[in-house]
Amino acid sequence: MQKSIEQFLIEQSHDTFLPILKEKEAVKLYGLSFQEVENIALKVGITPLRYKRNQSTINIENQLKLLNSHVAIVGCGGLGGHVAEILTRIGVGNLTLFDFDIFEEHNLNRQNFSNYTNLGKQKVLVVKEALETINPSLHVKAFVKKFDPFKDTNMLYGINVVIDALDNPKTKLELAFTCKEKNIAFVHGAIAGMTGQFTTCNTLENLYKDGGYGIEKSVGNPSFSVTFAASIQSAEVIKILLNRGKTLKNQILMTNLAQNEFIIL
Amino acid sequence: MSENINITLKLFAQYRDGRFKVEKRVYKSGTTPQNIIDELGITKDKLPLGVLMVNSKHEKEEYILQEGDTLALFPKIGGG
Repeated sequence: MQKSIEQFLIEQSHDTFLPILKEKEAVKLYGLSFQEVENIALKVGITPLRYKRNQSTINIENQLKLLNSHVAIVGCGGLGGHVAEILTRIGVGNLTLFDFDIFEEHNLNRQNFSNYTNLGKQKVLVVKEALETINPSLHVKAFVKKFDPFKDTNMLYGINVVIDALDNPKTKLELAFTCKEKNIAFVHGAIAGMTGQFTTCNTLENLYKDGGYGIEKSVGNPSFSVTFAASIQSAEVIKILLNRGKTLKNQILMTNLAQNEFIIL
Repeated sequence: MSENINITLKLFAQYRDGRFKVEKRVYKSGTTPQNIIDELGITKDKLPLGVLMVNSKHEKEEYILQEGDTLALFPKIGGG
């Protein structure tokens, strides 16, 4: 008689950590997905080895919560690609990505997973493939489409947090409005040059008087501003999902890396 | 009646370039943030306005500034 999967996982783990090769064996033996195996493992106190350095920032109970969380990333350029990687590495189990665009040469200074061999390819498809090689328990849906915050709200069904990784105030405003209306947690981030702005679960009227472009059109977006902003947004997501710490709910964070200014409005 | 009012101006990010970070200026009563934006010329050169605050409260460009107000102006940031 085949032993229970719980027993198998306990036996194959070392010091409560389960190496990927043993996990792979369990997937094969029991006909389950990596995500299903990890759900069972975490419930009996075994952590996939890849999360070892998450502890104790993320305890086992929280790791299980993240595994069963679902985050939508709207826009997969600068912010979106980096947020997607950060959430994948920390262990968020389900991501839905939206972007209609392809990688172009002027993206190479900052956009995660873009390289000179994949120029011309759909961003979301490249990102999905790359994420799946980082974390096999991740379920990622990639949509090659321009997300319409008014027409595509049904695509946000079951989503715990929506990331605003869009590159224009008009759609950012619309997405914030939709999330507020649907009561879905919303994490805004925007960058331009060495400056950034962030807010959580707010509409954006105070940030954008209209849908026209901001100063990014004239000052550009350097790599470190993008990764910095993606980190702030990712931290907001984790705090929301795990209900801990203090988020930027009803606050605006303005950052200026040129002067090391971090101002809460 | 044309009284003067003392206003503290705070500029952020690119708006400081070639200008200042904080400055106290005297204006005629009835002055609005829009008058000051125009005077400073901060939104020229494709640098549109983002957040506008008076005494740490969001206000509109048409707000009538009062004696002692602090006006803070941030450029509009929309990149991703």
